[in-house]
Formats: sequence, structure tokens, C-alpha cells
Amino acid sequence: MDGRTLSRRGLGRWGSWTLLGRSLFILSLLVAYVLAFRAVEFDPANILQNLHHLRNLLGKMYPPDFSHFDQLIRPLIQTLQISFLGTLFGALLAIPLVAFGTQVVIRNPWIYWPIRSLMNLLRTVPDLVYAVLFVVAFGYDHGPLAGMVALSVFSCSIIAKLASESADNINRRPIEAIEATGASKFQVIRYAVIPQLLPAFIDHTIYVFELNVRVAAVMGYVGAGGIGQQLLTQLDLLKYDTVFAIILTIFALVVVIDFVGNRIRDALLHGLRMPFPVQVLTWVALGWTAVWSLLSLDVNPERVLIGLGYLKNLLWAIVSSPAMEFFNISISRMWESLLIAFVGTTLSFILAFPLGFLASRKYTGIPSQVAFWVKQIPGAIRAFPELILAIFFIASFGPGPLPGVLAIAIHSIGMLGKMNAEAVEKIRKEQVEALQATGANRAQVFRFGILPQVLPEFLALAIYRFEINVRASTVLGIVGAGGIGMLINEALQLRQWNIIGLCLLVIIPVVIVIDFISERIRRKLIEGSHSA
Amino acid sequence: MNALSPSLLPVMATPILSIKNFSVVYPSARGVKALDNINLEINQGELVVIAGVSGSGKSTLLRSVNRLTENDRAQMTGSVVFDGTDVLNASSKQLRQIRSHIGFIFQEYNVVERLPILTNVLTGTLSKTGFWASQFGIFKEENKTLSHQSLVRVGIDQKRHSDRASNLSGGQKQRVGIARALLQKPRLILADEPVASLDPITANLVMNIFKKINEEEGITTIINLHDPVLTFKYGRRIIGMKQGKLIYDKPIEAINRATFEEDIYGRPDAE
Repeated sequence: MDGRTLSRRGLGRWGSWTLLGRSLFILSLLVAYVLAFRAVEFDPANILQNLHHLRNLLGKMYPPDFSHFDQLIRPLIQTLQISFLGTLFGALLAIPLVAFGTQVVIRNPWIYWPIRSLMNLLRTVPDLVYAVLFVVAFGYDHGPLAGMVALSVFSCSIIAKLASESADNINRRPIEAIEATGASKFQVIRYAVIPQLLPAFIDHTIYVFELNVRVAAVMGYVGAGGIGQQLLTQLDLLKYDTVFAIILTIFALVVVIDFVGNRIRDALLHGLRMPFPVQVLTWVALGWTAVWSLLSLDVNPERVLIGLGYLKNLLWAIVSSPAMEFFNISISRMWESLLIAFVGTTLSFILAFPLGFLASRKYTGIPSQVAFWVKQIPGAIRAFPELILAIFFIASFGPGPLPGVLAIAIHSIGMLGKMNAEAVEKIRKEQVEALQATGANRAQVFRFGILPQVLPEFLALAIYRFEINVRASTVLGIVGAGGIGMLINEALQLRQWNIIGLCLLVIIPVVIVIDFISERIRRKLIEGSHSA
Repeated sequence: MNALSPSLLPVMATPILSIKNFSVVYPSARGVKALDNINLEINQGELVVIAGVSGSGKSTLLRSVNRLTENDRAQMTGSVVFDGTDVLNASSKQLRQIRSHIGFIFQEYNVVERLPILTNVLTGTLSKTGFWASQFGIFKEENKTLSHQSLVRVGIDQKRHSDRASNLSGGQKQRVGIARALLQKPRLILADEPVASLDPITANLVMNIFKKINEEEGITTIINLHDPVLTFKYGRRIIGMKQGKLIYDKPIEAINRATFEEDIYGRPDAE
């Protein structure tokens, strides 16, 4: 923990600043926050004043009305089918991208870079924007099909990204050994890459399935089938008790899927080897589910091709003549989206900070039962899709950026709380003990022994979450929660596709720039903390 | 440079491996030569040990013979001729052909941990297995039988052959690596620090396997070792390397045991 090594890298430069510099920095940060909070209409007094709306709403929601539950079963199954097929096709589409998008086997940059760029481009488009595009292209009559195709592209982008990162990190030695036997590239892939990559690939695929269930549950809001459509109908009828029943159903579904998914992923990580009959059964079950889902969603290749043809025309039309007269509006709305993500992430960083420590028994000395239950909080929060939280807050506070901020702040606690706790678990005891041995008090030990170990990681996680939240805040407006999504929503209502095109042209570069800057900062933070 | 004396072994018609004026530079090393003007001939049936400290270039030398150095973007000049074929100018197809005749053994064994032991050994036959057959994991029965036999020969019990390679110890993984090389029916075996990660007892077991293969089948074998004791015990001809240069080359009979270590590794207090 030499101050010098810290100061040379990343955030440690702070230590070499003068007092005046530090004060000015903090002051300008505070001013920026005040302005940002104002811009997103985050006003504690106003929130407190309107709290009775929230209470009223909760009163109308409780008790949930499950009397129409039988009408939910089909949409629920449809949601699962859409998620399943979306994940399946996404994974299949991702395979070639992963195989050629890593430099492990194909070392030709002319193949590698275009594929990597395509992967990054696909990933910049938020999930619901895909849904909007495909619903428009396929027509509202084919909502579930459009949802499935949208999820396929979305899943493909994430699986390809995650799996190619895993591929970059696989052990190169066996690859070299197989190359040394005189095997061809395809044989090297088959015998040295796939066996190493398969567990990670399946892990990412199951993870994306978990994500997809959340997305598919709300995608109906833009007409892409599933239980989201029911949610929209009941909201329009102001039947909040039924809405609550639907929300609880989605919650239960997500929790169950997460639980099962996590179990399987854990088993995979621990090198579980399934007995042959179980393997066969699994494949048969997956195949049967795929066929059944394809049949009941009425997926037909011809329809998909026609839809993709429309999409091509649509994309060409909206990209070749975007509604430039809305350019200024779209920029200011995008700025609002960024602020929503910024304030939301900051709030969630503050809220998740204590959670990280409370969920780990290590240095807080809290009883293990408490730690266990605190640990469950992030998981439970994560099960509520942002969009549902946004709808809830819009019903309480009215449309605008504030519901977006609150939805993002609360939903993000899910991931940040969990990952912060993992960072706390990794705290090195030696450094803490060394400080205790000097006679430092608890607060001092925390400030000098624990905080330096976790703060860079906490910050890096929050910045990563900001990347995700920027995507989220661009689409939350579709339900009325401020930002550029509001413009997308208006364009949808008016069937002005070229406005959606303009929004895409604004969103994609901004997301690329944010991802790039965020990755640089995160790398600096983590490198700095490792050298420390 | 009087340490460079010609090999005293009977001279065969053509050497199996002939390296001339060979130099290697890594792009990251700012012009420092990893290998500096190497001239070397290896004859059919020899058991050669290349000795030297780490960083002396012995690993680069072996990895150049089948151009694995390309993975490290090394620039190679000079000539390497294996069995009458020019290695450095071989097309990628010819290179695969060359590689299929050379069994390569790695320090870290480089087995594919998640594949069964038997499949790891069968990967030695990939160059002779068709595209579709290999994609679907179909191997010839005779190769499977051969794999079982080679595994038993290097000391892996038949009942473990369908286990995952990750369940093996280091010494066992190295034996799988040797069995894989044997399945290539190699004309040359190159072993790059094969026992450096093993304990002394296992190291001797593994070295004995190399010795037996060399004696019983006459497969030419070149082994990199940094350990002087093992070098002296197993080498029939010993080549010393230092800072990318070849500084020593003698058959075992001509070696002066008293000065051997100093000749190759230098005096500990030197420099």
C-alpha cells in the first residue's frame, strides 16, 4: 500500500492534489449533482408531498386480485416460450460470431475486427428498441413472433459479447498442443476451444435466458406479446389490484427462473458431468420445448423472411431520411436520459454501499441470520423489471424523468448490492489486521484498511451499472418515464418511423462513447487497486 | 569457441533435422536475438538433451522446428530442414504435414482438461482424420486401440481412460501428453522442459519413458532440461545454450564431468 504506487495510477492521483484542488473538485461535483438532480425533477420535498399518492396506489393495489389468474396462464406460457426461443436462436446466431470474433484461433485482424465491431454495434441498441423495431416491421398482428426475433438479436449480442470475452481468456496451451499435432483450424476449434469454452457458453446462455424472461415479461407493452400486454390492458382499465396480481406473477416467475438457472450454472462451474442418460433426456426436453414453442407461437419461416424484408426497408428508410427537424429535441431528450441514468446510478450506489457490508458477515460482526436475509434483498429487487417499477412510480408521481430515476435507482440496487457483497468477501484480512495491530479504532480501520480495498471495485461496478442504465433510461420513456424514450413513444403513436430512426442515430453513438469511456475508467480503477 | 566440436556419433546419410544460420527475434524484445546464428544437425535415432538456464533460447529453438514460435510472432531467418522439407518456407498445409510427424511435449502438459483422457490421446491422430469424422468425434477403431495401448504403456490404467483429464496429477497429465505424441507415430519427438513442473521421482519416471521410446523404437528425441543432474543422467548427446547461442555440443562419452556444469551454466559468481 505504498502511496507512490497508488498515485502513479488511476484514482490514487487524488492523493497528490492540493487542498484547494480537492475542494474545487468536490465543489464542482456538488454543483453538477445539484443541477442534475434539478434537471431530473428529483426534489425531496416534492417527493414527500406526493408520498400519499404512492400510499393511495399501494392501497388500491392491495389485496391483489387473482380472480382472473386463469387468463394469465396462456400469456405467461407465451412469455416463457418467447424467452426460450429468443435465447435458443440467439445462442445459435452467436456461435459463428464467437468462433471468428476472438483472436485465439483466427489471428487475422481482417476477420476479427469487423466481427467484433458488429458485436459491439448490436449491443448498443436497448432491448425494447429492438422490440419496437421488430413489432413495427412484423406488424402488431405478429407481436409474439416479433418479440421472439427481437429477443434473438438481443440475446445474440449479449451471448456473443460475453462468450468472446471468455474465449479471449481460455487457456492457450492446449490450443498450441493440438496445433502441434498438425490439426486444421476447425479441428483445433473442435478439440481445444469448444471443450474449454462450452461451460462458459452455457453459463452465459442461461444467464441471458434469465434476462430474457424479464424483458419478455414487459415487451408486451410495445406490442410484442407475452404477459406485458395484459399488464398494459389492466393499467389502462385502472384495475390496480389485477395489475398487482400480474406483477406478483411476473415476480414469482423471475424468481423461480433465477433460482433454477443459478443452480444449473453453479453445477456447471463446479465441473458437473451429467450421466449419459441425463444428457440425452436434457437434449430431448430442450428439443421438444423448442418444437412446441415454435408451433404454438406460430413461427413460420416465410413470415420471418417477410418481416425481415420489411425491417430492411424500414431501417433503410429511417436511416436514409431521419427526421432531422427533431434533431434538437432528440439531443435534449438524450441528455435527459443520461442524467436519469447518472442520478439513478448515484442513488443506487449510495443505497447499495451499506448493503455490500451488511450482506457479508466478515467485518461487520452482524448475526448470520441477518446477513442471510440482507443477502436476499438484492435478488428480490432484481426480480422486478425496471419498466414495472417505472410504471408504478409514474402512477404515483405522474410522467416525467423522476419515475425513471427512481426505477433505475431501485432496480440497480439488485446488481450492485450483490456484487458489492462479493467485493467485500474478497477483502484481505492481513491489511485489516495490520491496522488493528497499530491500535486504530474501528472507524480508522474501516477508513484505512477496508475502504481502500473495496472502493475502487465499488466505483467500477457502479460505472459499469451506469453503462447498463444508460440503455435502460433510453427506453423507460416508452412508458412515460422521461428521456429519449418519450420521443420514441410519440413517434410510435404517430407512426413517424423516421423519428425512431433519428433516435437510433442519436442513441447508438452516445452509447458507444459512454461504453468506451466507462471501460477506460473501470480498467484504470481496477488496475490501480491491484497495484495498491 | 573450442567447445564446439563435431558429434562423434556415426554419421548417417542425411540428418533428420538440420538447422543453418538460424536466428530468431521477438517483436517485443527490441532487436535482441532470442536465437543467434544457430547451426545444428540432429541424426536419426539420437537422444539429445539441450541444457541451459531459462531464457537461454532452448525453448525457442524447439518451438521453431514446428513453427509454434509464430504464435509469439517471432521473426525467423536462416533455414530449418526437417526430414528433407524446408520448414520456414512451408505452406500452411505442408506445415500441418510437418507438425503431424513431430511429437511435441510441453512443460505444462497442455492437455484439454475437459476432454476424456482417451480423446486427448486421440487428438494425436487429427491430421489423419477427415473433417466430418473429427467434427463429430468419430475415430478409427485401430487408433482407439492404439491409444489404449499407448496409455497403458506410459502407465495410465485402462479403467481411467474415460475420465476427464482434469482429474489427473501433473505427472499423469504429462504421460497423456506423451501418449498423444506417440499416436502421431512421430519421426521426431521434441520435449520442451517436460519435467520442470514435476517432483524428482515423477521426473525420473517420465524421463525413463522418453529413454525407453528412444531405445525401443529409435525415435529421434530432443529434450530441453535445465536440471544438470537429469541432463547428465539421460542425455546421449548434450547441447549447451546461453543467451541465444549454441556454446556446447558433445556426446556423453566426451564430456568432462568436472567442468560440465561450469561449461554450460557458467560460474555462479561470474558477471
